[in-house]
Amino acid sequence: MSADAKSVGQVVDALGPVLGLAIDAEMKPHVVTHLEIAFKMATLLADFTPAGGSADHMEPASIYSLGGQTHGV
Amino acid sequence: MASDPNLMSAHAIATSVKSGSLSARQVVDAALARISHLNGKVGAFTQVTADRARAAADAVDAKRQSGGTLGALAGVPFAVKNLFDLKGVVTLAGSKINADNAPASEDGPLVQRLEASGAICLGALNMGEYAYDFTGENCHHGNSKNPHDLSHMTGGSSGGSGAAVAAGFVPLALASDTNGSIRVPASFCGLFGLKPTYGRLSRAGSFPFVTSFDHLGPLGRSALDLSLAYDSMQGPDAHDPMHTPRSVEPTLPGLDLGLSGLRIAKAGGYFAKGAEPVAYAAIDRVAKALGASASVDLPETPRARAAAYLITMAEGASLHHERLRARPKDFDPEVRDRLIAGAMVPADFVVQAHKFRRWYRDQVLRLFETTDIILAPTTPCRAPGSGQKTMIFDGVEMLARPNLGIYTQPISFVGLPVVSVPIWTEGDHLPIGVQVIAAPWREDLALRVAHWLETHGVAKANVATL
Repeated sequence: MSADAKSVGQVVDALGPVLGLAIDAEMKPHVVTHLEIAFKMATLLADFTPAGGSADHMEPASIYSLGGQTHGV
Repeated sequence: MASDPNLMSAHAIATSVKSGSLSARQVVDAALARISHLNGKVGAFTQVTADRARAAADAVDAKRQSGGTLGALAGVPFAVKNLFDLKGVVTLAGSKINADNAPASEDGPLVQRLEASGAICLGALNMGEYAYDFTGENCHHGNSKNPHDLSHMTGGSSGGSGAAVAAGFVPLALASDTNGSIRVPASFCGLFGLKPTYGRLSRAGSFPFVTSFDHLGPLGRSALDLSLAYDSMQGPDAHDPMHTPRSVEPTLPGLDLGLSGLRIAKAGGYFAKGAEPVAYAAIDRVAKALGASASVDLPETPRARAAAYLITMAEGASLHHERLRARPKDFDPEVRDRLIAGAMVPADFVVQAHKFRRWYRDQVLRLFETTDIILAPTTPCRAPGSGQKTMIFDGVEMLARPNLGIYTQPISFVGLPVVSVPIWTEGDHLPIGVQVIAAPWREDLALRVAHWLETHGVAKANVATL
């Protein structure tokens, strides 16, 4: 996964209008910085495989499991 | 007993009001006078509901005079982060945009429950815009300022809540904590702060941020006060779909049980590096007092923090997407630009983050099979100066606003209950917090340890001299 400022800037330029978000020249560098951070964070998760398991079979924690009764998440 | 009610604990106020040595009206008038005199310096309140407070105080006093039974928080002033609904008050959530909304038609359930226990609401408190903040700074309503040193941050996003309690305006405040917004102000303002288990207290009647992580809870100047408030707020509420159907589990009866039988360990790995020495000095002091020599590793915590970060970005952006389209210039730019970036986070990242959340939760729960309490820093440093944009963590300069909660975020990610306790090191004028973390639904243990630390002189919360 590549997340240099230039390629992230291209993502911002492309998605902003599609999402209906007006991103002016003053805002763009900050948006790019924050999206770059997100890409870096995502690289930490992309290669995670649980020991002895398979990433294909990982289940999300449902926020509606209301683990209420047990775990809360 | 202190003669100035503004310096008293919630417990002491309620005791005095019940005995008749102090009237609720005296307590409320003293608090309103202090707020009127000092709020301009501190920036804690965005709206004071003085008439409502005086009427409620008079009702408490009338009830006592007629022989009625007073609640556990009789006559105790409190205030709420301005994302809680207060009848007749616009729920700002720290924003300019929400100021155009109609006032709330009723109080949120936690406000109602505190008032049912005799507590008296004094108004709404400042916060970081839409709770996406760890600094307590707000470009619309002014920054909340740290009462222990007005040139420093309160921490956020519940900055007004931290400021109000540390300034002696109220002994209790309600706040929210998505990634650390109760615990960071507790650390910087020198307070006790309780983030209960995810799902424990109803979030109905509050403005959301990230529903996967949003928690509500109290800030106070003692663990006993937190226990009184927390016990008053427990109980079923069908209006929050994430709220637990568990019955009320009071913490007050066990508060004085001490440390006997508790297995306490320090968090190692991720939590044991990167912070300033003062954070580790505080942990060592607490661990030594508790006799905690063991250490446990919460596995893969950098990934946990990354997952929490991504879910927050995406859910926050989703919540605010229409406002970002329609009124981008009415946001705090520092919040808006993060939310816009969040709108562009690929769904793949978010799904991965939720999958990881489940795995991480299971690993962390295993630790509690052999440990009752885990200690970790609340913040990597004491309160930075107001307006400080960056911080140094582990030798790397990074943005302060998203990263002051670097140690709180992985804990709320899996919904564990935490009490942040305030630690003062000799010669320092600003405190720092230590997280006392328990297994899900064991708020009683976290409060019990916090209370022990307080009663043994290790943790202490003061009203600031202003």
